[in-house]
Amino acid sequence: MRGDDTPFPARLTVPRWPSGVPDLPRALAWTFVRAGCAGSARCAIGRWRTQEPAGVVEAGDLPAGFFEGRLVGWRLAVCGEAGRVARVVAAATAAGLLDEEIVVNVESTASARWFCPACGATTTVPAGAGSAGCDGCGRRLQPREHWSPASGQFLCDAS
Amino acid sequence: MSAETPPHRFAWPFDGQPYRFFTNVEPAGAEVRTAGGSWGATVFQADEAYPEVIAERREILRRRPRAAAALPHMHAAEWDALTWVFERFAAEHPRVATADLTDPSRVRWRNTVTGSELDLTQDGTAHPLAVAAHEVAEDLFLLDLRDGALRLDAVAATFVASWSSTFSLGMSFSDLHGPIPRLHGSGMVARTERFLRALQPGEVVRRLNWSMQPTGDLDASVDARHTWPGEDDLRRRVVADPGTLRLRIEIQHLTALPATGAILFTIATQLTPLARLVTVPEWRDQLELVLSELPEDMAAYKSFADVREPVLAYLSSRSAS
Amino acid sequence: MTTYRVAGRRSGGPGVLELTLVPDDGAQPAPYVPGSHLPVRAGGVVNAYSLLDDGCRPSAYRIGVRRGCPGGGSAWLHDNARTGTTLVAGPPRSAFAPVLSARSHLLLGAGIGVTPLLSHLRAARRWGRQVELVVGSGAGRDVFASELDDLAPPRTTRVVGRAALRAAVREALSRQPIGTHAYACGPDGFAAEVRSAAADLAWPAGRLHIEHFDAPQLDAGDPFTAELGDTGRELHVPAGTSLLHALDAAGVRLDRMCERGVCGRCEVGVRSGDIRHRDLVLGPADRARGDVMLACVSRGSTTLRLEVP
Ligand code: FES
Ligand SMILES: [Zn+2]
Ligand SMILES: [Zn+2]
Repeated sequence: MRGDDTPFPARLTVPRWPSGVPDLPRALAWTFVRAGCAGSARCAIGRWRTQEPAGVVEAGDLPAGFFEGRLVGWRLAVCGEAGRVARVVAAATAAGLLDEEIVVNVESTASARWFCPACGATTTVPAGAGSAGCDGCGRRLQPREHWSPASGQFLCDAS
Repeated sequence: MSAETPPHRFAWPFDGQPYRFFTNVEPAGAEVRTAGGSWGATVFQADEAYPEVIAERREILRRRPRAAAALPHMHAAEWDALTWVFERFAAEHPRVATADLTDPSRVRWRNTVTGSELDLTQDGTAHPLAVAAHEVAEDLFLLDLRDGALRLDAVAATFVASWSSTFSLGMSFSDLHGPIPRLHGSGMVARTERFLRALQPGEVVRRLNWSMQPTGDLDASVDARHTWPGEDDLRRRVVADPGTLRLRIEIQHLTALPATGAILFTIATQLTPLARLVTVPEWRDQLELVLSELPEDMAAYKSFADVREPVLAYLSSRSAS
Repeated sequence: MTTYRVAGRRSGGPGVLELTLVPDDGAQPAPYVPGSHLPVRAGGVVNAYSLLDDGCRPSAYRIGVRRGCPGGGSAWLHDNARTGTTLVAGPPRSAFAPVLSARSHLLLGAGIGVTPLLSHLRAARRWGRQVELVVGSGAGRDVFASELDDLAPPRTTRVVGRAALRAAVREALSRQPIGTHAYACGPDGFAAEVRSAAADLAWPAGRLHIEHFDAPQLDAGDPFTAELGDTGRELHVPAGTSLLHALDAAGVRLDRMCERGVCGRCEVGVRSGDIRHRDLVLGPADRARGDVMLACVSRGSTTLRLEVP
């Protein structure tokens, strides 16, 4: 038996966004999505557009039918605010896009999305909040350091 | 509610050695003798607690429908799971249930305990994994290889311990094990994932997991915690009577499903108070050894750190010597 | 390994043999995931052959065998497998399965490479999957033609000759809806062509699945000799037998649990000899030192001197 004495804390699951503006890999076509994108100094859209001519979509939520008619070879690049970017990435993943097909730039972190385990609702809170009332059931929520890339939400304890 | 497992069926997890995580995986189906009895002859449990556990399972699914959820692409894997579960259960417990699977796209199922008589078709069954969960005492999970990782893409689970299967839907095996101490540094999550990806249909393996719990609730999920007394209350109870602390055992079975290759994970939960377990002298001794030696971070993860002293005092007061 | 009996033999096209195998003991064969292969021992070697059906409750295993180079296992099967012949084979292994989350499936096959695609096509029909098929063969060398006629989905392209296949593959890859997964099977040159066309069209690697006709990951291995510590005892470990089981037979019992190279329990010290590690436990440092091995899966490529009591 191999001993296992790796010290606590274990690896936590928190969002790991790229630190600088990522370059775009080769693709046949691109769509750029602004999700709470403020066009700040850290915005990627300008730089991406010098690399690739592509349409820009303004989106809190992606419009219905957004993925229809897209062919393999097309890719998505998202710029904006962390909580809203996470939501767009979750929607794209649910539509069947792979990690390699999504490029992300986070300009700012102003919001987070919290999952209430008591009722299943999602509550959007200012980034860094220590607790909040659930939008679904009104219970007090406290976030854990456990984030799901699949939904873009933090797990909370409800009381 | 509590469905206590008597010592003669209890899946005792210790062997007299200090406990650490390791990939304690072995082929399923072999009965294990313990100092109190035996366990492990079957994947599915249909013992005297079965009717009561099924009733609670159904009540939770009614109250909290999201306890059974699946991503849309999982229908084939869910059907694959349903047929595997029904066939295996009926083979293990022919007096409880029968399954007719002559036509692979149709299942006829009779369960004399739940009274279910089902005639299901592949295309006409909306949530096959949830249907299966209504008939068995085990929590059911499906892992699917998607975008380079095994992901939890379907769940039907009402009895999970201190995590949220509803929150975890769609997460990778590696991400959903994020909060467990000692798992990552050792490469164990990666190793376990490699093992699961290499499972082939027909192979069924099992492992045990354990933790401590102050109440007898099978549903110890994060989703139900708001209905529990506060942490301080629970601690006071255990300090007042450490014999009420439960050892919680998960008997986990894993197999690769034949038609889709998805990994089915089943978890049967056993809960028994220390007061009952220490009636087996060998178990008392082993428990004392493990609990006195367990490092602090592990003790915290096993929900035991803040009551270690009184529990150890209790165990030594029950010593035969 | 299980013993199978050949229950049927017929032509699958020029130079291709279709064999139907049933377990010799009359048991029902284990189900398999579509796209699986069967490791078959024939003529002294183990080769992997694609299974032709969808694997759901099979009553027999059907495999397609192309006559390979003389002296190989495939040639042996062509020359020797008759109804009633017994063969030894490992359980089916899945390494080319349909991706459940795919929105659509593009199947690309050349020559004998169509065999695992037949399995995919049957599964696609069963589950109502959206599928497109592109296959090519040499002139007059159609493989499993009537089965293909029967299973071909509405979007099917069948071409003759390498150049035509190359063009058809590129054309199909250029117009697949996002969410499609592509599966390619054929000779090495074909796999390389598909790879390069997919790369030109910016297909992410995760959407392309290539079936290699390699030996299964855990093949039977070569025989080797193990020496037991200071006792001077020598142990012969035949192909297809693990060191762990060879030691059992010699009365040396190691601890064990998974017998799959993941739990680390069957670790045994090695004093000398070259180890062929096949486990998932030991890290690069252990392997570089070469002084331990896991007896349930790993083998010797030379004689091994073991640290056993
Ligand atoms: S028995 Fe588990 S690694 Fe060999
Ligand atoms: Zn921006
Ligand atoms: Zn709520």
